[in-house]
Amino acid sequence: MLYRENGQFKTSYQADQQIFPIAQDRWGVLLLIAFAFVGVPFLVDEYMFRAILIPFLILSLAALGVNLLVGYCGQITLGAGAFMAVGAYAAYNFMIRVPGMPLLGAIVLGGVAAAAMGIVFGVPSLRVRGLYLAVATLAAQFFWDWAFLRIKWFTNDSPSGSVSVANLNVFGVEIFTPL
Amino acid sequence: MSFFIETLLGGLMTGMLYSLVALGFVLIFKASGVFNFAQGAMVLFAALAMARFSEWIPGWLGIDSRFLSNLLAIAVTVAIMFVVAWLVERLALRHLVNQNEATLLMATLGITYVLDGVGQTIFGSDIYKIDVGMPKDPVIMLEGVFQGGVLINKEDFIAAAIAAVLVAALTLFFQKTPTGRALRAVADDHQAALSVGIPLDRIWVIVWCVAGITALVAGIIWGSKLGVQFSLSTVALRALPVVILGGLTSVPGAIIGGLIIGVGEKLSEVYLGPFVGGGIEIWFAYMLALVFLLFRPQGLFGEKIIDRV
Repeated sequence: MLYRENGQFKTSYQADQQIFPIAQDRWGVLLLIAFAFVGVPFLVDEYMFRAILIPFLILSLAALGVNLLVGYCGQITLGAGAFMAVGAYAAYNFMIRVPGMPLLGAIVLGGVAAAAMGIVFGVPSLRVRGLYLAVATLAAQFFWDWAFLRIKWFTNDSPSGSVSVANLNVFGVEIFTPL
Repeated sequence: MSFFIETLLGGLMTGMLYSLVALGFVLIFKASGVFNFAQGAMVLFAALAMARFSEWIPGWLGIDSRFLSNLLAIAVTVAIMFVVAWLVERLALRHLVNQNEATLLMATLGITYVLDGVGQTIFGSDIYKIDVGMPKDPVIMLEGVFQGGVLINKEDFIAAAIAAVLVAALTLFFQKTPTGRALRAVADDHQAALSVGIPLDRIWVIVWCVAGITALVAGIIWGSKLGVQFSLSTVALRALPVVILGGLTSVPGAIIGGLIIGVGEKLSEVYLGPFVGGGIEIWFAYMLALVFLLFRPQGLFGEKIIDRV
């Protein structure tokens, strides 16, 4: 331990419950984020981005969802991958089926679709606890795995089940490489 | 009609095999409160050991009889499962006494990967066969009742009989012997069991041994049916909904849950599958278990979960 919470007094409930209650943590994380935005793009090559850094960000995002469920709500979940897939395929379908759909809009709508699925599969959690719930969430996992392989509409008849969208752009800026 | 009965019976037999694996889950949960994710890996490990030793032993000892070499292989594998149980207790569980169930679940997830890896490193990762002389030929029954009769696999019958015997033996063990009583006490409360002088470490070794032997039986039957290969460890994923449906703490629940899932799977695949593109066996079991859970959150025969707020 290089530093402690000693001496950092909280005067409001809000200050006590924030994500990083210790000032050193807060500054450390801000510095890290600043470095990620300013430093990393100049220090790292293409391979590092594609193989390590971008997957790292994606998986951390997914882990945030699991953290919320398991850590804050105490509900063990094994179906996080299913909801990732639902969001991704929903965004893809919004992209290709709605003419003129902006990328950010598709991503938000994908999130809404995943949330809707979460509500449907979350219904058992009203009654089921602990390990029973863990297995119940596996149901979502297996169902969506099957659905995206077998129901051709979701993948726009792509034979392998993996899909991609051409010409992604945000506000006119094309996105085709990591940087 | 006879096709329907064939599907039904096929489902019952598969269900029996699921319950064999599910039994392993129930045993460990009942006796130690650990949800053992590694049961599938143990099935694979035991089956691999059994397959390889029954191959090697005739060469080492110059025995010609298949029966004798199978018997020796079973004995060696049981010994190995004992060692596995002891190591699991020594290296993992001993340090996790009185932790909450999610922690223990994660520990068994780790054990799964270790067993998968170590098993395939020692015994190889090809497809092996176990030949314990189970008859493979199908028989036709009930010819007088239906036209053409009903086609049944003899092997499935024997497997079901073995499963029934195993269940009876385990029930006796849990209800009638002092060790069985101690096991149930440990499941109830680790600390309370320790305080009345039940040796927790020894109990855990015993229960993992019993689960190991169940895994071996399941491994031999599945292995001689499908061949021993890595996909055997995914059998555990098929047995999970069985345990949930039957109730985590109930041995009869594992059996009846297995039968319901087995029959449900086969009937849905045959009569529902063609309309939605097939392959629905995999998630149908989970959906079935989910629907049951909505009405009985502790499974069909599980102990009622009472939480104090």
